[in-house]
Amino acid sequence: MASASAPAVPQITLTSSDGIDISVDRSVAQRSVLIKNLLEDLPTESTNEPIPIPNVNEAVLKKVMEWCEHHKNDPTTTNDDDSDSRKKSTDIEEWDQRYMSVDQEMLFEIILAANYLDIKALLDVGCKTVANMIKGKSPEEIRKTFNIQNDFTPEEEDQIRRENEWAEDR
Amino acid sequence: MPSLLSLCHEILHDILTNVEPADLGKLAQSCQTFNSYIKGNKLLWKDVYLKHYDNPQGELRRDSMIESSTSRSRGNKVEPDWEGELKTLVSVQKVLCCHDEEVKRNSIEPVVTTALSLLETSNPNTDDSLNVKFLSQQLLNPQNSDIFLFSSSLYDQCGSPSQYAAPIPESRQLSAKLHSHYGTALEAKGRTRNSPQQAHPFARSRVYDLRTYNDFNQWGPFTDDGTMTTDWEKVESILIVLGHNLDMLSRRCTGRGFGKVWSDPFGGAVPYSYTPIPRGCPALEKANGTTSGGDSSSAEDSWGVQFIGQPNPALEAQDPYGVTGTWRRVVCFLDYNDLYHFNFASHVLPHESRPPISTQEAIRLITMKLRVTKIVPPSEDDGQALPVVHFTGTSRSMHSSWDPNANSRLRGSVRLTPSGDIRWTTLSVFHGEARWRSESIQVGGLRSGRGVVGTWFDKDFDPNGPAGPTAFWKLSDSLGREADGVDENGLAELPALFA
Repeated sequence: MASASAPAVPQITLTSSDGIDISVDRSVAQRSVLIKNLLEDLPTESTNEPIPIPNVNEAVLKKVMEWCEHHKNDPTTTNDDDSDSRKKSTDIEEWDQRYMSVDQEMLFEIILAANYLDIKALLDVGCKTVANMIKGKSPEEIRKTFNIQNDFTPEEEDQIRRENEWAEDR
Repeated sequence: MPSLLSLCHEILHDILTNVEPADLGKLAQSCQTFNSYIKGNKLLWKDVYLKHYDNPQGELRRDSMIESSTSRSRGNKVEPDWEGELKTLVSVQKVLCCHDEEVKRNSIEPVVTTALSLLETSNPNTDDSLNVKFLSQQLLNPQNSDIFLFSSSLYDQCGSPSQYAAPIPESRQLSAKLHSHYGTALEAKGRTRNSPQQAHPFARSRVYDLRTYNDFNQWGPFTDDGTMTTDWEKVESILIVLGHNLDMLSRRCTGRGFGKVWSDPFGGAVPYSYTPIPRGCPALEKANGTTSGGDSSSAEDSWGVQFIGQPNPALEAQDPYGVTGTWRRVVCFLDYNDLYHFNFASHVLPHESRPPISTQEAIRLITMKLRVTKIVPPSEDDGQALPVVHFTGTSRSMHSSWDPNANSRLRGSVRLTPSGDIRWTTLSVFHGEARWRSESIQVGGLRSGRGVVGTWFDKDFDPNGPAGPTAFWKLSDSLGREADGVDENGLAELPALFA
């Protein structure tokens, strides 16, 4: 982890897909397993070079690093699939809920970035946020929420409704 | 610009495993893409299932022999139909959550059948079980418990006005079966005029009605048609009577922990839920009579070593039922004059019930030490999935040592009934002569912690009785010291009668 020998917290530079350099604490950036592995593979002297992040633009990268900054002291995720999978998706902590109050485009951008940068906990929060937007909605409400076209023929729609009667309230 | 439908399948999977099962049905109706992604997506249905319910294939058996010989879904290697199972569970959940009493009353069969199969595939540790949590929560709704737990024929006579017998016999049996697994946590305790009619006097009237003991049911908790199918309405009544009596006893002997056996919803009512009493908990061990107090853990250890050195450990390893060990038994009986008077003093029509009785019964707590002696293949009258295990042992009263009826040798057998329930038969032998016999069913299935519930009676099936209810449940795999009066130390002053 961050060595105490340097006078300040060691910093690294990330270059976004639109060519903007962003300076962040090394420990913050290392919430991303992709960046962490990259830094470990680099010789120490070349960690001053900017690291290109070709899939993420400046706005999204800054937003993602904001999350990493807030969660920099979280215990690193271990193989906790068992206990984690038992958590219901409503269990999103308050700060994360506020953090995820963004427009849908940004929400999906964060999810894609978290997936690319390999930040499992952030990906998880993003997926749970989307899941909560789906929960309890009718097919029509789902279409409206996510701007989905109803592409069924009336006959298909009829058949699919019958196939899914098990999900209807009694 | 990214959108929900543009996400890759891995991310979509992560999102959809976080929705409720019913939402999958709504999503599938929203557009072609979701419909084709969700329909038949085995991994998705499996992961959503496992988020809400216990893994039916989980907790792989230590004992591969049991796995290969049991037909229960748990032991099967066949992949469950996750999609089909989950859809069934959702429709049952929709019934449980709705407010329409008629819908619920018409759904006793599918709801209880599903509930029972959730118990069969539950995590053996019922405290951690998602299935048990789901069922217990649903049954906290009084409308659900009235309809699904209290719809046996018994509740035509007792309970609250919103509890009454289902019109179909199969539904009455299913309700009694679920109630037997649930336990006694919701028994009406009312003492005031307006509170629900308590069930135990009516249950007692059934349990001591000697007309229910006949050749067709071999005097056990079976139906009267000779098929040896479990009669869950009988099991239910026996549990209510014994639960009430144990509760009364524990109130008289506070702190002994006798009343708690069946009061935890579904506690121990699932397969493999038996766990030995934890070491290092002397109070609990003493209350259950498994040690003589003092340095319990070292004593247990040395007995354990002794046990491993027994002549034929291979028999224990082959016994799927887990017979060998120390068991707690409870036996209740009416004073013989009361029993005779109740059965023969007044005449009732063949299908008329006898009146409720609140006559005090005697209660005996007994420690049984059982050991497997022989394992043979099932006969053609038995369920074929498991062998028949024979055992011998001792039966020792926890009350006064002079009680001549509680200290005996014991022999018996365990087998499957043709319909797959676990049936225990015991015979108490005094000075070389058999006297009492019992027939019981294990509630919760193979190696359940709940125990074995049934009837005891004269070994020659004397139509004049006596007969009564009995139950036993396992305390420990160890046999303890047989010669030394383990139980007398702590429990000699237990009252024999609690009148």
